[in-house]
Amino acid sequence: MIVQMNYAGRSAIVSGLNDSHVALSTNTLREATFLRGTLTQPLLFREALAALYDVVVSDFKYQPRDRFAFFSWLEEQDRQFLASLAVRGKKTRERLEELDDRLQELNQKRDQRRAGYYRARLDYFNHAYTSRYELQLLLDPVITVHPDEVSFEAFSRDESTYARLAAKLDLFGKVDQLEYGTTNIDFSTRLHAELERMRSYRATRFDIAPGGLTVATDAAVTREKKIKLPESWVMGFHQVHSTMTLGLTHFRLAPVDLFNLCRILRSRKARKSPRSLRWELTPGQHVKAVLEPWDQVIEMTTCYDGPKQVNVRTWGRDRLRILARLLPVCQGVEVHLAGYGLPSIYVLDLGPVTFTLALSGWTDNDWTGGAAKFDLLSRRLNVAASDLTRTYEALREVRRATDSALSVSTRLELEKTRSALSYLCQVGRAMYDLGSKVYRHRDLFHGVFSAAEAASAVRAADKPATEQERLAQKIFNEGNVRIIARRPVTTGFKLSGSARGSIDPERVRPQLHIDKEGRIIEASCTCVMFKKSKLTKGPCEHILALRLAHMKRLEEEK
Amino acid sequence: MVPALLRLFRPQGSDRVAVISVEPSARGDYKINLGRGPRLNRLTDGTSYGPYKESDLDAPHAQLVASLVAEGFLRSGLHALLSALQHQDVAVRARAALRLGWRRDPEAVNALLTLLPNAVDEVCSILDALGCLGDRRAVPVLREYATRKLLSRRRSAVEALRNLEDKEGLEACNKRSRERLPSTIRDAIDLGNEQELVRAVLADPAQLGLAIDTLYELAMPLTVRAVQGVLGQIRFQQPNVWRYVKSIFKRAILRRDFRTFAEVIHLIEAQGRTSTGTTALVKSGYDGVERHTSIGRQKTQHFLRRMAWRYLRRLAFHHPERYPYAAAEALVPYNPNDAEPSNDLYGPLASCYLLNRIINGNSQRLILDEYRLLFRYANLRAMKPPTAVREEAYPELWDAEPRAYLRVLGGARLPEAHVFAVRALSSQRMKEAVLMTADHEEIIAFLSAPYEPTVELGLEELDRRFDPQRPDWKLLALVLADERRMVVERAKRWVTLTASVWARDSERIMSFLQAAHPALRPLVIELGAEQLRGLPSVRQQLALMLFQLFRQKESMPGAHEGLATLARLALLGELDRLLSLDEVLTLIASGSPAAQSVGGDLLGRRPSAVAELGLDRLTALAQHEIAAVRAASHQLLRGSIEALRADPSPLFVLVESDWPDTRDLAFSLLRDQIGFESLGLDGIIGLVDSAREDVQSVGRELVKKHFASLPAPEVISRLVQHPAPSMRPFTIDLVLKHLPVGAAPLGQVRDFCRSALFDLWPDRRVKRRVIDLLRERGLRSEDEARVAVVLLEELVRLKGKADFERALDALVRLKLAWPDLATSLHLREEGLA
Repeated sequence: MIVQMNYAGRSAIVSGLNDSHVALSTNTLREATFLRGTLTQPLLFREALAALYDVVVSDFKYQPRDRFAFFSWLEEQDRQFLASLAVRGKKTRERLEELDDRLQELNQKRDQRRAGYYRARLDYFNHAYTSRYELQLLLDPVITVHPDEVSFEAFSRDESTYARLAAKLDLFGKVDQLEYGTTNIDFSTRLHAELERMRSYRATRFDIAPGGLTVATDAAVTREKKIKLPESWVMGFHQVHSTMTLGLTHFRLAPVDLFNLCRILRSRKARKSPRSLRWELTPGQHVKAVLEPWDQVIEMTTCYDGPKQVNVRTWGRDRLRILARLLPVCQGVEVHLAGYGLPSIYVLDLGPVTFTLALSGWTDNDWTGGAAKFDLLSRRLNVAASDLTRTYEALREVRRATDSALSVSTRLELEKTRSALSYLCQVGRAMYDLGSKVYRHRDLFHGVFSAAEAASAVRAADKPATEQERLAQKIFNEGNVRIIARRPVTTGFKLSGSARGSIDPERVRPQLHIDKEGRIIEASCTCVMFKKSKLTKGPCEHILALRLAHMKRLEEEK
Repeated sequence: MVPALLRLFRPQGSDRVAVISVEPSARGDYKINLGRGPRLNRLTDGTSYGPYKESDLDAPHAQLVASLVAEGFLRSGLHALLSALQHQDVAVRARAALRLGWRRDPEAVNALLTLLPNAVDEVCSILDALGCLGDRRAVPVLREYATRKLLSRRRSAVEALRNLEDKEGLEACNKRSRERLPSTIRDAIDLGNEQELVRAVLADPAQLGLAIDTLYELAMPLTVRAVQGVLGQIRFQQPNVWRYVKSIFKRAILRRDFRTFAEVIHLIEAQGRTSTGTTALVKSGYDGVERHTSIGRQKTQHFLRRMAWRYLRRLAFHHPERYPYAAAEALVPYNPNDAEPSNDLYGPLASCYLLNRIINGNSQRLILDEYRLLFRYANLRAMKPPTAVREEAYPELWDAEPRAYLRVLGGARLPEAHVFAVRALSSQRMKEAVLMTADHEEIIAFLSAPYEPTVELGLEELDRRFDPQRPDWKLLALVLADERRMVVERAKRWVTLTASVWARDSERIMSFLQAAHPALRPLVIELGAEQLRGLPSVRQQLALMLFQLFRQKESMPGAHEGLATLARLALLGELDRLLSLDEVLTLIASGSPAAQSVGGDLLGRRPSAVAELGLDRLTALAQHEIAAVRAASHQLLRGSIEALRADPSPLFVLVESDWPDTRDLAFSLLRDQIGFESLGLDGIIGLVDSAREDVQSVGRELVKKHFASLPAPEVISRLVQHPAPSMRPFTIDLVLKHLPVGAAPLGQVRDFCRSALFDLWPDRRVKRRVIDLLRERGLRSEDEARVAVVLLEELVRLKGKADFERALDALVRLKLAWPDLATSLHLREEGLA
């Protein structure tokens, strides 16, 4: 999809001798969103924004080495060898070697002479690349101003890392102007460099406004950006919030623990797989992180207070190094794990600022690639378009609310409200704030949420979105799933069942730990798909069919 | 002219063969000898006539021939051909007619005219022959055939009329041809615009074939050029095009239009490499029946390619003086695009049939694959060309008409086509005979050749003809724009020789500078600048012209480059007098990059501009992308020291500039010219706060220099906020030496210490010094120890061994010094020494 942005000015930071002015220019094509105030802790804000920038430009995907120079050298060696074959006389050979040496010498001299030119050319290419990247590929961070906080959301270049920086309004000593809403801000490499000049001994004025810093230039600058945004990027943004609403395993870490982890990751490079980070969580004991393939155990300073022992392996651990800038200012870290090979979320408490870093299952598996269907883990009821609109309006009015509060205000059942909120997250009209445990209104893209959009979101949800859902429905309709054991637990139910798929005639044994709203907490199955991918590609059809059977039984019991 | 040997033949009689020869006698006269006999190698009777002077030879020779004709003798071969005209096989009759045409035997006219009324399939051959024979007795019958609907008949008749120069008949034909053309094409012809005509023809694809054939039939220079233009833009293998392309090809042969002949056959050959034709349902012009017919199939393509060479061979035999020119034209259309990847013994030009026939016709190294019409080398050894063997076909004919070489050297685009021609013209005799007598334009054409020896040959000849006092300006412009080394060398010589002439003409200077290749431009500029020193009026004139030019946009990027360099070298004085400050600033703001550099130089010459521009504008100019503009603003800024001392803020902007020269200027001013009084604490710390390392370095330097005058606690409290790791060694130095005593100052540097300790890429020395600081300060007072212990406790949890031990040591020391200190560290009594 093409995302168009228009900025009436440039984002800039002007640092004078005694004061600083941070002016972030907002997209004029979107709803007017303002925040004008004075920062009380500019250093903290600087570090947080720097970390956000690191996320935006990070690309941890495997980049093959550029071996062009090596192959050229090989080719040259071959040429010399072949040329020497034809030379028989000793004198000629010597002369040839002499000439080759001379040629090399001349080439070196030429390279030295042209060094300045090469440098300038490289600078130009870098400049051109950066400009092009910023103008065509870099989606400016999404900024949301809410009654309690202002947040910045961004996705990494490799689409595997999501970051959200939420600054409480307490960070602003004085707020002169405030207008709630969501928009994009003009963000550039140059701005990042200017950020580094923020200091506490300069009064820092902070403006989020359409004009940006037009006063610094002679004429008003209008900048248009058209970004070709991959569908996967948009889907990824939505999937992040699907993941956050799941029942996640969570524990706390001290900043020094995260530092220890990052330090080892920086100093050691794994040459072979598995390059995973295994969290070993035993109730009442210190949290352990095991770095594979070395099996290096790092015992954390905090204890796990969960109900039972859990071991979770996550990949793409190098992405944690993005947090380097935040470690000195961090006060605490909350880690949320979705499961084996599934996303992990790190919420860093910086005092008045919260930084959320969500990592996909592994680097090459972005939030949508590899069929990461986290929405399947949660259960959604059918919601009418009118209910969806009502929920949206209610959320928009208060800007942030818990699901229960919204259920009261919309007079919908709690489960239905949750489903409606889930739909809204799916279409980018809402988000889940894991730090505050509330839903927030956030229109990811420009445009009014119309009844037609609501109807289309609901209609799309009526149909099975994935092949697994379709197959699960088929298994359920044909009566090929049965519950063998069903045990209520404090968090919900534990189920064991038997199912036979239409493709594989063998009966398999799905097992499920499900909460009262139907969200999958844990699941396993004896089928091939689960053995191969666990839940990294979403639950298999047998697990989903078992959930359908359980939900039907629940309704019958009611 | 002495008549050539003549052989005559008669089918009956005792003497069937007669040979007439003209031999020189001992006294310088000539004798006519007549030999007769039953067979060619058995002449039994002979008579000698004469002696005659050379000028008197013709009459007795003609008389002798006439007497023999009266006896029934005819030129040898004619009897056989005349009898072949009566052969029952139509193909034999047609071939005989064509041969008679080539031979131009007047005795054949009657026989052909007699045959024509009953002829069917041989009609075209007879008409072609009549055209070649050139006897006006054939005109009435040709005019009648020219009105026929059938294309082949009409074509042969019209071209025959053209050969007979029958103006009346051709006029009628042209009239009919014009009527066949669509009105748009007729209008374009009347307009006389070739481009328009080509566009009109291409606009109607259905009528395209007929249109180009008809236009070619009109034979006007305009229409022929248009046809040549259209042919280069269309695919031949289409039902409505192919037959007309063949028709044009045949017309070109009959008309001896070698250029069209060469272009068409080359295009057929080139397009044949990527197409094997098609099949389409077309109506026959011959019997009006619709049939599925092959269009442009390989068989036909090969037929036409062979036909082209056959035609050249016939020319070589019957009109040897024309062969070199036709062959030269045939070589011209071949170009590097005709080369294909080599495959074993098949070289890159293996599929260029006609080219190989012409340039390798006598070669023993190449073998023709008759089926595929590809030339391949006989063996690997044959791939190396011999040095002293002439491989071209009919070398004697080329040598007889050496001017044909000029066309090859001036027009051929393949180096292979140049080799034999250059070799032939390399001897002094041929140079004198051909090159020295060639037209100037013909020699200039050599310069665009793809073969270096050809260019060298042309340059040599042009150099011989070059007159520095009356130079050929067009040639100079041409060589100035050339980038080849040998041309550049020659151009340098010519430009230098003529500098005193062209430098007097301002327009010439401008055109030379705009046309000159970058390799030659410095020379032109240097010579121009040198000459202009003594020519004030030209300088004035040139300055005015340049000023006007610089106000316009560049026609192409870099077009003003050379002119601007000359202006900066030689015309700054004139331009300075000519331009006001506003105009200079406009030039800088909106001119081309080259013009901006001139503007920069002009600005630098005006120290008084500082007052008008002000520091803000100068600061903006100091960050201009053009170095000359920056240099000028630097000069002006250096002259504004007092203003900068009063307000050094522009320098803080300049130190952040992307341009190193501007930063260097700002650094030098800050270091040497602007005192501490102007900078103050804020100014110096402002420099240190930069994200640029070089600016930080200057800031550090200034902090060190003026540290005695600065409030140490304030400096430290500011420096510790710097996020750059490179600043930490400097900061920790200051902290260690100058941090005031007490917990509060230590608390102020706590975040700095955390940043240094929790750095993923730490500086080990800094880290150790931070731990030392915490230990030392902690030992000094309990309040400070409380601050230090918080950090040290975190540090002992680090997994790094070295840091752990050092931090633990510090922590233990603090605990020992202040036993009441609240820490998570517990010391066992027995462990204490």
